[in-house]
Amino acid sequence: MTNFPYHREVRKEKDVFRMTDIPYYREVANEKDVFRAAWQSRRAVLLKGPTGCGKTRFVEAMAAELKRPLITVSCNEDLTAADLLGRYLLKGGDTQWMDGTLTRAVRMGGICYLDEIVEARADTTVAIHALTDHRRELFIDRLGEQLQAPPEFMLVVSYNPGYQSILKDLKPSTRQRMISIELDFPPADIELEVVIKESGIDEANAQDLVRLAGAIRELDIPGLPEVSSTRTVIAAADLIRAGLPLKEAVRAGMIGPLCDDPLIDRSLMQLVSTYIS
Amino acid sequence: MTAAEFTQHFYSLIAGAVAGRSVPVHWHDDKKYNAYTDNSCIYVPAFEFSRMHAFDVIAQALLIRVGALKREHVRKLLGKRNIHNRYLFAEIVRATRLNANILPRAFCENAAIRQFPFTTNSPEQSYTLAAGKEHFPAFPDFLGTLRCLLVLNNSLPEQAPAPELKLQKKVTAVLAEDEEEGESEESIILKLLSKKQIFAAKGRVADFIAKLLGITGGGKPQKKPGSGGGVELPMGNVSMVKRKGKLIGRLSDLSVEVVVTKDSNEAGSHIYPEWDCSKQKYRTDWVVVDEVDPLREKAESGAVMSEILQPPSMELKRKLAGVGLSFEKHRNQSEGEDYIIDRVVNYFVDCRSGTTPNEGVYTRNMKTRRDLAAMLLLDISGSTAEMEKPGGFSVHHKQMQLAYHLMTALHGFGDQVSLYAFHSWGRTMVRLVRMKAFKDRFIDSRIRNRFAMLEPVGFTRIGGALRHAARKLQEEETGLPYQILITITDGFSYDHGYEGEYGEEDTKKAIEEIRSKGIGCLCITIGSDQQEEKLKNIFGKASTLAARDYDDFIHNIRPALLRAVAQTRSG
Repeated sequence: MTNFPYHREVRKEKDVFRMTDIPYYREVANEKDVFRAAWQSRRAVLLKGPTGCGKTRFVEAMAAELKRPLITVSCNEDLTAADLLGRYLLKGGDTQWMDGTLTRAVRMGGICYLDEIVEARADTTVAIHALTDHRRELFIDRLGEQLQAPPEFMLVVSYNPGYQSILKDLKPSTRQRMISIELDFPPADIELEVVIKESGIDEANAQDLVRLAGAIRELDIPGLPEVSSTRTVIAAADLIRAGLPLKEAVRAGMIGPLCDDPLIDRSLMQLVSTYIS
Repeated sequence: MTAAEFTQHFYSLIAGAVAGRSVPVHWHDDKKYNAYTDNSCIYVPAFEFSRMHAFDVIAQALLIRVGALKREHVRKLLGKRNIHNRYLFAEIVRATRLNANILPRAFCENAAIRQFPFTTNSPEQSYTLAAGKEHFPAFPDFLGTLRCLLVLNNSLPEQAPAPELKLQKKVTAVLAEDEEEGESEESIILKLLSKKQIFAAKGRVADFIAKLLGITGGGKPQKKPGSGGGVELPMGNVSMVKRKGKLIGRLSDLSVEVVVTKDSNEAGSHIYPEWDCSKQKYRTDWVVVDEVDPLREKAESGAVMSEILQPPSMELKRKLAGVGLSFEKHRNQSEGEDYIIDRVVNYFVDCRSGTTPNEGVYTRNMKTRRDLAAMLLLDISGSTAEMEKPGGFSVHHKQMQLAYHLMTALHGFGDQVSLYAFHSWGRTMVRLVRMKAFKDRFIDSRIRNRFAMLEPVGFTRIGGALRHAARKLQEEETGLPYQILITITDGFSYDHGYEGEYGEEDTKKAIEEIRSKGIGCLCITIGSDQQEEKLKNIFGKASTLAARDYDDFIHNIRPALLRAVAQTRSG
């Protein structure tokens, strides 16, 4: 029929329905308690943290724990309010209404997760305003419908402060409506636990990877805009587990994604050889 | 790329990771020492090239990270050479245990570190342990060497008038001797101090020693403005001591000899030539410039900083607006040079259908595009620390305020701005302190905090700093047509072997080179009137703004900046 992006999301949502196990998430501070409290008091949650620190995994784990379907929307500049709320599509000679992702989540009382919310345009973000305060309702102007959110519905947005630019920042009015949970890369011992659990490599190798990531996070050099995230550490660990030699796994999993400067890349590899024997 | 250059870059990277701030690494060629640090850079022995020096670098970077080499601690160690290694050992083990999660496993599990039998929790405890009688395991070479005088020398706010240099040299020599041979428990310097007459008789020398050892607090303003002084204490000045026979070796110990390689890279050092006016030719590969982060043991007080870091006034902003603009095409204008066909068609359609037409049918070129890249270079040598009256603002404070205002104002207009501070200790230690790089998109608390960490110490080898700044400006902002380099200085160009005519001629040459690259230059001084003529001679009359005070600066900045823009290739 059509190839609107949210159709992919709908498929994902069915997968979530089928998901029975709770995904692994290791709590670092009290973020799970805060999330549960927010769900109980029917408030929206703003997740802050660098890329690859486990924001999405955290939401997945919480959705499974609370037994709610999870609908994820990756926000981008072209995401319109219609993508969230719904639109009329042509079918034969007729028009047919199609719910947007957010509308769908409200109707089924699920958890709607707007990933990288600042990427969306301001007019899209204000669509959630009425939903996130005491009214908890979604107004679909094209249908003239006022949709009241059920108590189980929850909105979660994520946001990476490191990426913000002057043009892209959350409006204070949007920000104020949320409860904020700040996530960061876990401390070394917890990260070690996570890496071992996720990838299944032995402790010595995992320790080397975590120490290396810790050192790279301390670096502040031009040409290195990002640091090694927990995600890249696990990627490298997975590659080791799959039989790749240590150094090649680290290069492919951790160093390669960091930067494109060949000089820095080579130097980082020297750093790697100090940490990994 | 040869192995040497490559390895150098990599060591800077690992030093930066372990120390948590930018730490350049150099090779040194002095067989007496293992790896050592002056708390900003790390020097690794070049003569043992075959050995891997990663552990040496990690050990020194750890000392920087945990603040083991703060002046208060190093002062206590001065002259007690027999406990230097013990202190290093205890501190490095302490730092390793504290930061185990970012260190390579091999380093933490090194036998010497792992089997160290004692535990300390602070530099004080480490000192007590080191000074005690406990038996230590054998000292491994990779823990390096402690050079107390180097650490203290590089953080000393120096100022002393010329006539007393002779005596100061003697004191310096004694100190040097102390560092090298001070095997005895009771050091020579302590004996010197016990002879009270030094303090009684030679006021300024005594001040100097006292300052070095931290006996009195802070520098006293001794120099009268306009006295033509401005000579800073040349510690470790080799050239002038050669005549004195025996002292040569010891004094030259204080200046750091590094092994210079031709290559330069973004995390390592940068090598520049210098103009030798007596021979009328360049000294190639002469000056080593490093980029470091600001470091001060005790940050400038919040009250002073909040007074300095005020947002720029409306008046300054008005003066700076409209400098360095280029033409930009604007669409949908009601008057202009060319039609937009679509719009014209719409206009007539609207007319015919009876609705009010939109009159914006022209494109017009207007001078609105911000096309200025400005590199600000702030002099933070020891001479700027002078205050006119106690408790007031020093030249350093005034210059800092001026630099902050210029930076913030230009940044606010959307110009590309970066700010680096500079000082030096001889030709191998020219340091550019990063305050705001071009790539820093916001002037936030992180950048404001850096100002509080600036300490006015050292000398002014301005040529190397200018050459490096110009290169950065050109490499990082290639796209913009108006590139200007603004130097904010107190005008005392002075360093080891950079005195008088030599320094002036080299600076002149550097400015010449920079202009020939199409970069506009401007030199601003504030509140230090003495060197105006000299600066005008060096930078050219049109490119010098010697402001009496802040109001004078505001009054004159616009024409001065416009003249600088006019010097650029596009201007």
